Amino acid sequence: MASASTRPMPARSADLDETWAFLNDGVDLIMTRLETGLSFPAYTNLYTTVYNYCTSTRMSGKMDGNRTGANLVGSDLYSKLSAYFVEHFKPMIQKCDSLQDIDLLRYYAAGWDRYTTGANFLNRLFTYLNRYWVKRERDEGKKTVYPIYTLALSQWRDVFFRQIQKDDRKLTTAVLRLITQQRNGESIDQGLVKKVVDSFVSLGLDNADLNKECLDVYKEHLELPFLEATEDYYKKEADSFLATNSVSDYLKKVEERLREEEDRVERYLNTKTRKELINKCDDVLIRYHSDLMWDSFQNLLDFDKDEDLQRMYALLARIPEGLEPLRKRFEIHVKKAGLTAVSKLVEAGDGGADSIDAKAYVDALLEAHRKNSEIVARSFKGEAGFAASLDKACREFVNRNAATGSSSTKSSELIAKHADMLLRKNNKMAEEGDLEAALNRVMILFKYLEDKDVFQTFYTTKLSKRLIHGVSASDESEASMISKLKEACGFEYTNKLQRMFTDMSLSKDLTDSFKERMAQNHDDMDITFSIMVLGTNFWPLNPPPHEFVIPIEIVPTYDRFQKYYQTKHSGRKLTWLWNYSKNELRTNYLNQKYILMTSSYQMAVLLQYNRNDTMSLNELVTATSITKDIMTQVLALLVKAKILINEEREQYDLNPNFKSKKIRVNLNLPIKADVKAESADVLKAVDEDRKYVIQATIVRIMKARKTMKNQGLIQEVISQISQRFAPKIPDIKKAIETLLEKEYIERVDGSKDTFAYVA
Amino acid sequence: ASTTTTINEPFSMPAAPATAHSPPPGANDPYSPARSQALFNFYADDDDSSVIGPEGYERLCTDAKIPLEGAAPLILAWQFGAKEMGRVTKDEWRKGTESLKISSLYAFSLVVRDLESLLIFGNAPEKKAKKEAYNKSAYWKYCEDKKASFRKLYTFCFVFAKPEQSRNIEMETATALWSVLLVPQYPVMSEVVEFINERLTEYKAANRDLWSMMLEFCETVDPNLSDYESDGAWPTLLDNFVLWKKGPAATGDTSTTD
Repeated sequence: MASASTRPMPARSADLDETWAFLNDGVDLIMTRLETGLSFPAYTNLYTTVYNYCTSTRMSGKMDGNRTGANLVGSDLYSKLSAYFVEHFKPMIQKCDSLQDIDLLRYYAAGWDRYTTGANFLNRLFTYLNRYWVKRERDEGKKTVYPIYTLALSQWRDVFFRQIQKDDRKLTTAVLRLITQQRNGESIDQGLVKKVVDSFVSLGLDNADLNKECLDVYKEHLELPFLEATEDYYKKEADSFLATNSVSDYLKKVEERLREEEDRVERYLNTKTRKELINKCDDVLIRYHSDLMWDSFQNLLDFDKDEDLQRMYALLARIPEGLEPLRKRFEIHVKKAGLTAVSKLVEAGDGGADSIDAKAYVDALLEAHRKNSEIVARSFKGEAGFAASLDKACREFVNRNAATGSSSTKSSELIAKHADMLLRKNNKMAEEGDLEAALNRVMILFKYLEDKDVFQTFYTTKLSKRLIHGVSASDESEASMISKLKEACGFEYTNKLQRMFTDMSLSKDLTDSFKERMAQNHDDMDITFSIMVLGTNFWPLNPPPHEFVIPIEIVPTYDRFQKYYQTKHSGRKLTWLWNYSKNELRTNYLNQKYILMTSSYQMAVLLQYNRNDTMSLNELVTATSITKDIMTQVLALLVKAKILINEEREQYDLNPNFKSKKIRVNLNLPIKADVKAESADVLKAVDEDRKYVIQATIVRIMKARKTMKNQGLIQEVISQISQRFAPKIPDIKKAIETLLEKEYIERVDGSKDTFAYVA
Repeated sequence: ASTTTTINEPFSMPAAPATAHSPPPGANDPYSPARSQALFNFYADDDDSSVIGPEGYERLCTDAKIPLEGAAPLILAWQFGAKEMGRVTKDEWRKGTESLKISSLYAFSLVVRDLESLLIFGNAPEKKAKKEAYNKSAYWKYCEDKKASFRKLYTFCFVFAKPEQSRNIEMETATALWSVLLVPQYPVMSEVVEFINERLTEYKAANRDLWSMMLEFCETVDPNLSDYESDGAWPTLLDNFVLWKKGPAATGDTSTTD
């Protein structure tokens, strides 16, 4: 305070030298010894002196009318102040010459604090100058004239900062060294770094608009060298780290490093640096080593390294080209997993691919799917690309594997078979919920089936067996499965299935009403009778390929029902499916009364023994009209069950000493030939159905479009049908040929590859 | 099978011996309706005098030195507008001979030879002479657009060879027809015919579309098949032929070309 008052305040009319001499002392105090204090009167004196000088009219004679005195005289003070700063830096520069690294940074930061504080004071002190002279100068285009605070900054930059940085960028080097130390794990004075870095930011001046942030000094003196140093550092680190560590460890390291660098920006760098810094790190740490990561991916999959997979995904997701190779590898991996699972199963079984167990097959496929879909969800965040790879791979191995061989229908068959097993009474599912979950799992595989029509046909066949043999687990589960199929493939897909249930419930009513009527009209109905009337178009059942002599014992019942049905639905034709019917016979010729549960063929054979004790094969064939080959199989079962005795060739006697532990004896076991023929029948039906579906689809398309090019037509057919099965192009072309021949469509004259609908 | 052989007769049976019968009257005289009528009567069926049957047709061709093996009998039938193989009705005969002004065997053979040369072998048209042996106005018409004229003959042959109630002709008939109609101008067809004949159990019949596309194939596709579009709208038979022709594996040829 004393120093500021050594000189008296100059008079209003004082000249520049006198004025500056007074001001110089005050400025110097503010800039160098502010901590010693500046009293308010002293400050006011200084302010007034500036004001007085600027508003003095001494030179008004020289001015033209528009200009006030302050406009002109400001220039002198401005120059003096500029010159003051230059002087001010001289000892500082000298001091810096002898400083390095942290000492230099500390000195610089302390100086910066003091300097900017002082400059702020000066700025207020020279408010008048700023407000008039500086403003006018800038308005007139002199953009290198700054308000006083800015002047201070620009002088710092041009005189002091550039001098320190002149040779080897001592400040930059020092900052980068600290950052390196921090990267190496040492703790550093982050506040110091931040202060220095902030000063770099402040030193950027946009002459055109001083309020606009300008990072040119920061970029030149810090960001660029920093990015270079970063690249350098991590290049070396990555190489040496990978030389002695696993990729898994590297992934962890990179994850850590990326977090650190994000932090670094937060702590002491300008936020604008984030993008480039991260890009640089992604480049050096990830992109440069992406080949290695891609190659290690399989290993991580093989050993279920979930966390590492997550990390690898997250890191490679940062570069645009990073994930595609993983997706491809993942697809191959999943496909292999599925194929291997099935191959193992086939090898483990003794009968090869033919005797493969449906449940084991489905379980193997599901396990491959489950495991890998969990990986997608957990490690790849359910990313769409990986989900697509999973689906593609599953579609591959579900349709084509060691169990299917070259057959495109085997998988559909096995999965339908498995569904049948689930829906049967004895499925061993403890809880309703378990069954529901198992059916949902079947649907997972169903989604991947290419030949959904084959599944449909097998499923229909199996369902019909469950229903006519009364072995379905529950109506709710059946309905639930059908609604799932409907949801996946639409109403048409399950239409037949639903009609089958309708037939079942109608049949139940019909049986009841028939019984009632018979009870009224007859009193000799000692045969318990129930009937199922099944719509020919909805049930995959074929009548027996041969005649059948209806045993006289059941003829009355047969006739009565025929009549009854005709009165109810005249004009409907009943075809009796003896090959699917069953009966219960009571034995009267033995001490113990047994109930024999038989097929209708067995019944027809056994009833012959009401009138004979022994019969030859030929006699039996004649009596029943059952063909010889089926008859032999029917008899074989009866002989095996010891109901009949076959001591002489082709001669069958009733066994008078038949014994069984059970009162109810089930003789109705499937005949082998039936089982084998079933698959072949189904496939034939599918083939026929496909021809029809393709033709119908073409007609539908052509009807809507009127004319279509061959290519477009084929594509459209494929896209419309692929939901149900994958049509082959030659099959589509054959269908087109058939329709040409039948004149549903024709070739357009002059454009042979265009077809037109013939109305 | 029996129908097949009768259908094939006009162009696959060996020529009857020339000594079997004596030549008809007025063999080389100029046209007159009476002579035409006489000629018809000479070849008419013993059982039905209003029609020339297969036997008579064959004798007619033999006497006129019209070869039975090639396309000639077909051309003759085409000119008569005959409805059935090996049969010419009185009415068809009258109309045909009148418009062509022919009533001699020589004129018959001239008509057939001229058309065979022009349409089957693709030779240049005859030069116009001052006096013609028959009315050539139809011939000159054909010359104006040989391609279209051949197509007429070709299309006629399908309808002609097709049993009335059927949509198709049997494949053996079709290949026999292609051999005489297409092979002379399109050698690639001999391979197509060979291909089909080896697969008669697979290709049982030719429908109208296959028939017309076969000509299209001959007319538009390069004989070395280089411009055949396998994803085009060609009948599958041709797809399979091209596949067989191009794929060395599919030919069953054991000698591999490296």
